[in-house]
Amino acid sequence: MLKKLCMAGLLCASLALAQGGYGGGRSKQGAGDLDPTTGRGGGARPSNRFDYIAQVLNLNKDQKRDVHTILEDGAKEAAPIRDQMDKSRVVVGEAIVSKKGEDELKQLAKSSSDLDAQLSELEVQAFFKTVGTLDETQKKNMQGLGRALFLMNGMYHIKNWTEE
Amino acid sequence: MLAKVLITGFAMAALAVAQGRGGGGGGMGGGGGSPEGDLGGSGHAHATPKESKAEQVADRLKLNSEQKVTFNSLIEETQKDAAPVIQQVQKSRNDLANAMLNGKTEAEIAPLKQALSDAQFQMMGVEVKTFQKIVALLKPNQVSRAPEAFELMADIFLQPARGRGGWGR
Repeated sequence: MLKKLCMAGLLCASLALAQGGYGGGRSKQGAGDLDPTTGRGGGARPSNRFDYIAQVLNLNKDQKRDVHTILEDGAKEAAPIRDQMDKSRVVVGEAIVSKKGEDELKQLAKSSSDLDAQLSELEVQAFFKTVGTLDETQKKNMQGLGRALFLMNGMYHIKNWTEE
Repeated sequence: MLAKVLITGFAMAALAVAQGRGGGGGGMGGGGGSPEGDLGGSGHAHATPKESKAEQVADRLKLNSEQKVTFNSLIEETQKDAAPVIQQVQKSRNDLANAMLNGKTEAEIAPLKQALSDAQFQMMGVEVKTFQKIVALLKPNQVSRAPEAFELMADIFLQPARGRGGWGR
């Protein structure tokens, strides 16, 4: 069984790497010409992060609505943390410029990176909730899931999570 | 068991997708370029590419051309040196997602959250050390802008590994 696990993992990993995103290596062609879930032509080019997520997960209309709500709710929860993090980074920057002692600098940096980690956790939670809306076929699309998680990486670190 | 196979596959795929980006392509910290690129390298660029984080920082500090050369080298070198930390951040994030999907308990998830926090702290350490070198490049009249530039520098080395090459902060 271990062998099977390794095989499955390796297969997925190699697929992800070999297909190179939208399945075409380093083509100069616009990605909108390719369907992210199949690597074949025909898909419209998504215009923002949410559309990309919807596309890689192959969401239907109802799922799109639900996932949008999930991601939007997460963004609301993330907003005050992000504001706090931005301010804390300025404080760290000031400490660096004024050459504060290492201990003090470490403490300030830790406070700031903890906020960063909280935002990352919110992103992962949003991903987890998103997976909860998927049907069984969609859940088996490992590459799509991997890409969706990747696309959600950092989304709450910016003011408009869907921004391109 | 099928679920485990699927989750293992997912984790590997996610990591592979992320590593496919983070590994050196970033250059100036802005490198990913586009979500397509970030997803694995179609090489497609946005119609209107945004400034990379590195460019934003350089602009904020109003670096002259000579300073920019040194600054760019510094960012590029650090990007390479920080690869293990970048991968650790990515891995800890994927581990957390994997555990949640696998229905792990809060007690089982807690150390994974801690690992993510530790990895982010390491990343912050890289940013701080780099910024100390950047500050050393500055002229007195540029220093006042430095704290804001550090705010802009957030996740500068993670940008290619994050789902937002051009999805600027």
